[in-house]
Amino acid sequence: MISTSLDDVKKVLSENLDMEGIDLNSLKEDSPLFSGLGLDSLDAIELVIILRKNYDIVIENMDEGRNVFQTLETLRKYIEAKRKK
Amino acid sequence: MSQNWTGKSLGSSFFQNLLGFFIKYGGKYIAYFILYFVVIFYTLLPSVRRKASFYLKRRFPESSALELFFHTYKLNLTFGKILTDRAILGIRGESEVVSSEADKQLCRDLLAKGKGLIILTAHCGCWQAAMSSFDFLPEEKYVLYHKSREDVDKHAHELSGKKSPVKFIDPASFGGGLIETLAVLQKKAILCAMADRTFGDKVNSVEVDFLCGKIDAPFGIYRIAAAQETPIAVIFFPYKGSGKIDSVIADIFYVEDKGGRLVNNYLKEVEKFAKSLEKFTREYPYQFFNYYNMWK
Repeated sequence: MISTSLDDVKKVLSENLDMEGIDLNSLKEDSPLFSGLGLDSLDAIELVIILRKNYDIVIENMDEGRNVFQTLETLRKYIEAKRKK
Repeated sequence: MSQNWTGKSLGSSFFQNLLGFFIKYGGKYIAYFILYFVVIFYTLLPSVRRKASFYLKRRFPESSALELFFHTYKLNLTFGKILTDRAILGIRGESEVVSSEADKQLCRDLLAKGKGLIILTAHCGCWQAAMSSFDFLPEEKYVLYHKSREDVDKHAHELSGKKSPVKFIDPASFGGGLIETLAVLQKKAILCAMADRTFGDKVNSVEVDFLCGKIDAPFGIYRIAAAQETPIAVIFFPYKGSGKIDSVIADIFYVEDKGGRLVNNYLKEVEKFAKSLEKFTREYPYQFFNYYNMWK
């Protein structure tokens, strides 16, 4: 089984997104990605690109994206589930 | 005073249906004849002249009020003819897109690289018929296109009752439709995007020079092109007279992936597009159809 820890996900996000001023240690599993991390619609595109480049995962549409990008935990679970396949 | 884009059609659905009736039962020349009078009526409306003036005053800055009136008439007439031709295409199937064999081969070569193809165009010429000129390519075709609820203009496939040859992605959705865009390009599809207006989130726009002023143009599509290594072809579709549409490849380029969402990473490409569009307005002054104040 491939594990993807919350810290792994936080590290990838911090390396690829502009998260200046956000303390990574303060982010919890249920931290909302957009209101919590101050991300906007362009960051949503960056998230999709990050998933493709770092994990070879393709988000097909925004409906799927909306569910995946709710919180750090929903994103982590999605990556883990896709990588198992 | 600023006037934002509303998506409301210039003509009413009554006149559009009337034209449709004449096209169906009288043929295209009857429809053109009626059009001259319909356009005079609309050009006399102050609201229509005002909508056209934002562009025309920049394209023809030295014009007197009378000259501006005639410029407005010519602009509206060309727009009317293009809409009439689109209806003719839908109702009677009579229309011809002229593309040179060299341009067709260029598109085939770009697609052969296996990264899909982004066609950037603008609200000018026969942009609504644009994708018809790519029937020679077997790949799936998508258009990043927002249709306002107040837009009563019908596409050719809506008039013919046939299935649309393209699928639409709404740029007014969250993320400017760019997430769906990325997914379809990964399937090596062809995507056509209007690069002269920003829909949805305004963070996806950058200020560039255009016709002696500054406009906001979207840059998200260039980010996608960079991430996906997809070639961009800037193509315009000038109206060449009754039933004839040309396709002009104004530019072809790749966007270097500098990573991230920094506006300045894509400014050069957005400026390239704006310059190509400005050149188009110099060659075809009555084929630019942004009837609102797009300048800041």
